[in-house]
Amino acid sequence: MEEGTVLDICGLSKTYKNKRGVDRISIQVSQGDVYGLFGPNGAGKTTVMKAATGLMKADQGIIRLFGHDVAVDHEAAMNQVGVLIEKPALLEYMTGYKNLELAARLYPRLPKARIDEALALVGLEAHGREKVAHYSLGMKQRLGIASALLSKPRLLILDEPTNGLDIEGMIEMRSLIAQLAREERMTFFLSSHLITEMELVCNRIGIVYGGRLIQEGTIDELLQSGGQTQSLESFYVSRIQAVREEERNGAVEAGRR
Amino acid sequence: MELLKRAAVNELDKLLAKGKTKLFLLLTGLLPVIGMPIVLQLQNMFGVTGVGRDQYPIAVLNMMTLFIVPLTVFMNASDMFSGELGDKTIRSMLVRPVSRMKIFASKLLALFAAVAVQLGLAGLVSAGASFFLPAAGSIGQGMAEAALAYAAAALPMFVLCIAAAVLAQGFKNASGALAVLILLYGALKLLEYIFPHVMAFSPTAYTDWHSLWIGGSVSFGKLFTIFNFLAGCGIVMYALGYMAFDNKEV
Repeated sequence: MEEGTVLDICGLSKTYKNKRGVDRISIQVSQGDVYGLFGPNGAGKTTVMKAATGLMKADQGIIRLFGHDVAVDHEAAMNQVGVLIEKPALLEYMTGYKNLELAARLYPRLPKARIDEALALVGLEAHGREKVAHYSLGMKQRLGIASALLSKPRLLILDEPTNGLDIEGMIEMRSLIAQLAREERMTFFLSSHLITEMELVCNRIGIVYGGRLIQEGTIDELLQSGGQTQSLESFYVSRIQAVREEERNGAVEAGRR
Repeated sequence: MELLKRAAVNELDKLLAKGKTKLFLLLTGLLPVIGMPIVLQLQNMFGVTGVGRDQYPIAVLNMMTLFIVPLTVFMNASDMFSGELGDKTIRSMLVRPVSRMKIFASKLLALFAAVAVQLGLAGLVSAGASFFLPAAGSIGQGMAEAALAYAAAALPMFVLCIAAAVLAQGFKNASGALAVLILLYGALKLLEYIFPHVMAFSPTAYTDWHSLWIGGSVSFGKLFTIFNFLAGCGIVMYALGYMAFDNKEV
């Protein structure tokens, strides 16, 4: 593992009962990166995220967070990590503040004032005493982000962080990520199926398709490797077409044999 | 240890935030009071002293360990395991720097604490209410025996907590788990009457083992055997429950 690597996914494979999953995915995220995992729905992004946070066990491969194997030393691995996977895991019968209080209790050194700070960071300071059941979808998403930010983590793992947010909320989320990356030197590992969002926020992007990581690099590197492509969207379309072509040729070759 | 304690406090916080927990606590507090006029009325009707002052807390305990506490345990375990696994709110704990071993243990500690509070409350209220009944025998000795019985009653209830935690993990919604746990418990209780010798190997057969601690008629050897059996069941089920919990993918 290279120095400065905060997340090291090495040869991750996971197959579900329906035969889908991810196959030998390796990703390294360095300190200060805003790494975006991009791919269509069902490509395997959430599987990578779940395995990276210990919510799911890998069939093969090792995942290290800050040098600690997440499957072996979960507590040390997750100590400096904030997570939001899919929809926020919130207790609807409690207030927003109480939800954060429960999370804060699991960080013995975290001052209680941090709960109000986290609520203010996502613009929910006026709604902290309301029950989560009365929150809109966007408010729940923001509370989920506040919960991930609560411990002032060095690495934030966010799966589809703009889910449920309106345009204004999406812009706010992007500027929050940019601000945290710039001012707090926070590292991000994000996933999204919206390539324009990735392009606006991330400095490095990995493209997942059919459970495989088919391309990885900075935005400039990706555009350069695409030859004449002007945008990530057109690069993605041409890259996917190439992959499908390879798969078809492979199937024909196998049929001949 | 600090994290385990904090996680257990979280689980208790979650339990207390639910309306049904408060309702069951209220029911536990009211049962001995509501039961009192019924007992008095029955005794007046038949002209006998059925339940004396010293026996009333034990009569309440019998009712608690047969129905009320198991029902509360099943309800809490279903919410804590099936409910949180089903709606994936358990993720809020699993992605924190706390091992699954501590999270599982914290949930069980909260279940145990809820049982202890329920038994303690029932004991105190029934002891208070029993002063309205006619004295029959030594009050001091009766109360001491009742206290011993209430403490002893916690063990089979704790084992029931662990069993419920194991089974509840097999369901993805709390209501389904609760229904199955109640039906299973009812079936096992029924089988105890039909096949008493076979069902001696079921931990549910000892929900009334507190009665063995009263009167000093049962040998220490028998108490020790049952204690070992219940402790053994608890340890085996704890290991099974933790294995299932550790392998859960959410």
